[in-house]
Amino acid sequence: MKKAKGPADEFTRAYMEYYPLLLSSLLSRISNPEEARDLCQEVFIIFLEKFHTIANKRAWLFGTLRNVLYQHYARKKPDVDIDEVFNDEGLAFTNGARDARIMIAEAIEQVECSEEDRVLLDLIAIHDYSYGNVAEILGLSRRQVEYRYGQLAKSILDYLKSKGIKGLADLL
Amino acid sequence: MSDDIKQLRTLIDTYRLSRPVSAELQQYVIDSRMPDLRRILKKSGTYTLIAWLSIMIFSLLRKYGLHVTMIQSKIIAGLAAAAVASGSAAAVYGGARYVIKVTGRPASQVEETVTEPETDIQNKIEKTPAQPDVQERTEEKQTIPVHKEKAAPSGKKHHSTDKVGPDKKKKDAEEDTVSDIPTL
Repeated sequence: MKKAKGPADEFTRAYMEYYPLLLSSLLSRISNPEEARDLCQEVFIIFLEKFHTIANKRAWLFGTLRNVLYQHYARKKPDVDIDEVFNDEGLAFTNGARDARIMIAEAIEQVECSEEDRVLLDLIAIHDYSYGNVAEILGLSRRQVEYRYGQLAKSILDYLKSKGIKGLADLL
Repeated sequence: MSDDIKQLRTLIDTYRLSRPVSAELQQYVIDSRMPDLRRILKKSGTYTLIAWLSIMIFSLLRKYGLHVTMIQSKIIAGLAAAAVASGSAAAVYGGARYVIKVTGRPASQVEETVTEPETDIQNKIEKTPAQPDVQERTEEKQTIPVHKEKAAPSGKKHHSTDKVGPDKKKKDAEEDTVSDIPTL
């Protein structure tokens, strides 16, 4: 196996930020926590090997996660449709608000923030993490997390308003 | 909680954008982060003790809200390792020196430690000379002469007591008042 000498420090920093996000994403899709951990390790081993060639870490990690999860389902549960596992938008058809759902997801994705703030937003907004746990993961104080999340929520709502949604009650 | 946060939460919940993780699983994720990093580094062959020490310092400082880079944590780890190495080297040197001092001590020094009790005994002897005096005094008391010799009359030749007759001795004893024999 080829050793990654140079980027070990950067890898560690990226790992500390993205590991909770990836494992939470896996835990919401796989019921067995040990299996989820093994798959998460598999993703990060590949991530370390190809670290110096990766430009967008977040996109790469979630893309690889999808592939690893696909292989896992192909081995263990061949009858499961992997697209259904990942296609969250598919759920929108059930409540008949597909466009609004895509728009909100886009607003969350498009908000301009640092990688750390992106992790913070995903952990709290998507995975329902407590402020205290996010503070522990990111090495921040609880108040800092709460303040930053408030700022991010405001940015998302401002983005939606800029897209023509003047009253959020229309969406709700 | 601000209104913005409440509105965003309502939107996410309404459109099922969330994939909630339970509180137990959140703690499970936090607890498994460091052991998994160790496994990944070991599997990829980049695991070293110093690297792990710097990672531990990095995560520990972050846990307490101190933002440091990996380079800074490596410097701290290096300084800590140097301090531990110098401290242990000093301890080993001091210990070795003490052992050499104890084991390499000449035999005469051991004899010196043995002679110490003798000096104590000598001191004791010097300090207790009073008892023989008491004994001498008692001996002196015992040697008090029973008979007091009379002074020889002038002009007469001194005769030894052995040659005096028994009548004379009896007479002298009656006359002599100093005697140890108690009289009835």
